[in-house]
Amino acid sequence: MSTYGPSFITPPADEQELYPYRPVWRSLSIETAILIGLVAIFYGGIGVFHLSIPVRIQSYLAVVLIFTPFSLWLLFSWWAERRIAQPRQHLISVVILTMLVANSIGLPLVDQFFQVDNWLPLAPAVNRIIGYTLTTGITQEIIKYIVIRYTIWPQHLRVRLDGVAYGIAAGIGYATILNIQYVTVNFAIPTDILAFQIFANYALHVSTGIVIGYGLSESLFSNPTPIFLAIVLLVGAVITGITIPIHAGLVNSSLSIDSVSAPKPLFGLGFSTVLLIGVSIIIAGLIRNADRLERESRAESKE
Amino acid sequence: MAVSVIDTNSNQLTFRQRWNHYLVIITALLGLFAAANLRDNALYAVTPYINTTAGISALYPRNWLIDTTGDYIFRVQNASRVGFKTTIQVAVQAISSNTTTRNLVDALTLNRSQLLAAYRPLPADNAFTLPDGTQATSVNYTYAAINADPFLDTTPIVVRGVDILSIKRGQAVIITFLADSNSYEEDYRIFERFLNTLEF
Repeated sequence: MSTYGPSFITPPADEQELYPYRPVWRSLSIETAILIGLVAIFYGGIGVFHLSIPVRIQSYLAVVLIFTPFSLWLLFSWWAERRIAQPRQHLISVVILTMLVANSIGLPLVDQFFQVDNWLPLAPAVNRIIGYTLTTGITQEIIKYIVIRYTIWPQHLRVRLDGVAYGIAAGIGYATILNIQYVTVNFAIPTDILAFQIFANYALHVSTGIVIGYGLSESLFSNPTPIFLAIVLLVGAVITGITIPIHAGLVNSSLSIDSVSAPKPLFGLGFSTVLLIGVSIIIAGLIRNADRLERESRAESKE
Repeated sequence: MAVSVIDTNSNQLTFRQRWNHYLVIITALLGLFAAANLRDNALYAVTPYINTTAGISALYPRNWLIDTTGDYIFRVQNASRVGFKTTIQVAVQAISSNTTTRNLVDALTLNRSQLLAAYRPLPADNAFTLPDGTQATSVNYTYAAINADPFLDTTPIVVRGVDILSIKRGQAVIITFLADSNSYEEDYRIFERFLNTLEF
């Protein structure tokens, strides 16, 4: 027997689009927020409330701080990849390779061959920016570029954000090596100052890593003009060249005839945060725009 | 969030992709080459010094402070060095016809042992050859540089020095190089470049 009663018409459920990759910006935001929080805790405890950390503990704390950005990245980026449908491969290889190349080529080239500490800090402002761009900037960015280019490019890039994820990995590797070098050179440095320096290295190298990673993604997906990657490399180098003297100028105490000002580490923290957020927003916008243009062009070609 | 997933053939690079990679390497090499030039201009830049009366000319590092008021022809110091200022000094001393290099070394040793704290002469080299082929004697020594200023609470610095003595045209030329013992090896390269340009 069949019945012809009223049938309920239910609206079709919205098909939620599955995003099978780890969201890069969310992981980066969490890592950065935790790092800023840690720096603020150390600054508040030591710098403001003058809590004294026993000397015995300081060296252990320095080791913990050195590896904090790397540990946070392992927890919120690398480990998060394991819980999703299509994880990014060889992220850890990029970090370790960048660390090895930075330590074996990057640091000796900048410190011993270019001897930047012997001539750039005393140079006029413009010369300092140009000098740091050509020495430290080019060296650091070409290392990140070469590591990503010859390990995961192009077979492991599926979406544009993959380039950013690998760029961040390269940046974390380089920053970790610089942090280790900083502590070995300045062994007795106060913990709060060390925390500020570690965040400055993290922000600079993650920012430039994002730029290099974006460039490599674009060179694969958008097939841009042949000078595109060279421009991206220069942008990364210029960011480094501008950041180092400006950060030093903001943080270090100034000396004049009638006064000596105290160091201003909070200015440096603010500058590094703005740099990282600014670069991330610009690159996220560029990627979103490129993805939209691509979808539109594909839709047009189907029609 | 919408994403674009593009199938790519990993083995086939387009012309633009290939040239993107070539050009980025070329750009980096050009940048590093320019950086090396900048470094050379900053670290190895020199200023000429000519003294026609004494018959001495040399190129000393730019940004070093020159002093011609003492009992020497000239003295240049690296004022940017923290601690002991690396110093190069050229002095001339009139001598008699029977004065030997040994006499000069003994006189210098006696004089310095009275003026400098913890002065200690090191073995001399009688077969030192200057870049222009002139035979000379080099005398190495160390002493402790003590800052007498009571407001600067600093520990003494161990200074390592070398005197190069050469007799020419009836006068003794004494070229002195002084540096903090920790940076001596590094700064000695500057002194070698100075010797290469020194004419007397």
